[in-house]
Amino acid sequence: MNGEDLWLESASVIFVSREGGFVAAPGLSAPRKIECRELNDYQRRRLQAVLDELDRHVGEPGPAGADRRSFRVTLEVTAGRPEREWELDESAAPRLLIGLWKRGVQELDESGD
Amino acid sequence: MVEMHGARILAGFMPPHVLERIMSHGNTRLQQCARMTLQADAQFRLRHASAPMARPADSGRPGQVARYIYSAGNQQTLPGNLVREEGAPESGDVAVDEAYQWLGATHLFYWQVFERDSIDGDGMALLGTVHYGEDYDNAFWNGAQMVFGDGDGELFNRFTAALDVVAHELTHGVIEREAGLVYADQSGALNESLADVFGAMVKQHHFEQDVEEADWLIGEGLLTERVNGRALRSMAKPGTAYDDPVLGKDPQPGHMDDFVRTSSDNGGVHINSGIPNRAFYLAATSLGGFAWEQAGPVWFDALTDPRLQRDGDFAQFARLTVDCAAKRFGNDSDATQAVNQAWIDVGVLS
Repeated sequence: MNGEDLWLESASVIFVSREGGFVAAPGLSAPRKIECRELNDYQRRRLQAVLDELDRHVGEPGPAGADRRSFRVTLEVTAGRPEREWELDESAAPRLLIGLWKRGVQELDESGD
Repeated sequence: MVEMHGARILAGFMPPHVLERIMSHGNTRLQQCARMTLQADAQFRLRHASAPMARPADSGRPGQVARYIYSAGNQQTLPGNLVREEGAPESGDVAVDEAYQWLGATHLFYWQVFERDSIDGDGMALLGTVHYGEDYDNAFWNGAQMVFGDGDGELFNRFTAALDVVAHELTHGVIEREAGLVYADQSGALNESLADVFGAMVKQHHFEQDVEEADWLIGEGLLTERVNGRALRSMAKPGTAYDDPVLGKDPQPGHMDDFVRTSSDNGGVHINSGIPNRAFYLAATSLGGFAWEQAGPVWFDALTDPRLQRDGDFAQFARLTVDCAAKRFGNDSDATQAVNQAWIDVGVLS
């Protein structure tokens, strides 16, 4: 991970939310805002690794059915102007992404993936 | 990456229904991108397809239900371990036995009222998995079976506790087999509404409630006492089911004037479903008696009508219900007038 180029800018802001499901209550989306300027180098690289992982899911088929929950991840550099957005079913979501959504940036400090 | 709406770059998981919509509505370049992605999807599915689980036997006799209830053991692997199958005695596991009972009640409703034999109309086995995940606050249909979480115990009880939730998920299977409504935007909200409509009717049928006795709530009994709410949705008064510090406020509209435009939740499929939900409630209560006697058959006729398109919107479905009511009950019947007026009252027809 340390050898990879760091493309995630300090001005970048990541939003993570969960949506859908039978319940689909607005409060349960619990959007999480992560400002890269507040992260150290190690945290930023781990966050970037999550986004790279999302990129690897691009083009994969979505699951069949209804009432499934999904995660939406949005990358902004300029406030209010999403540069990139990913949406993926919760069954395909990286564990670190789910941890980030649940617990915030402290998840980036923990070892392992 | 696929450029959507010319405004932003949306990358990542692209559901097949979105790709299909791009193929039918996008410009030439987008259509080509979508076609290539769908082809890649098909190849991906082939490469990643695990050995298909041998499905248990369907029903051997018309109208006879074939239920198979599994436990995921708080893991997320489907279908899990088989705990109870058709004809077996109660397991002692509340969630298992509720799933078994409510799937039976739903099958009975479809058979007695519409002479429809299970999800596919041909005795398809009903598979349900309970104890899915840890503290899992959801229930869903995965294209082959129904799945139920235990709830977290803080906000939600187990999802098998409510008959209409089980019936809602099974109905998604019926909708998938019949209309194949695309799970996004208005067709997705229609998909969700039909699952609610038939879920509510199954509950009313099981408890022998007429339209006045029914509570017209979806998911009543799912919320714990800590939540300020009665249920997850109200068909009679969309937007009033809950107002809670954690869950937020029920966002459902009951009229097209309040239609919510959003990209989340597949275009607000669980939000705007409040509009057709209320139309059904208005039609059924206007007619009186049991909902499955007049309004229900009209909605079922429309759902199974080949004219209903996969990306059908509220207005198309509304016109179909009026036509189906006229065919079933007559042009000048109370039913036809009530159905037409219900759609006018929610702003879908004028």
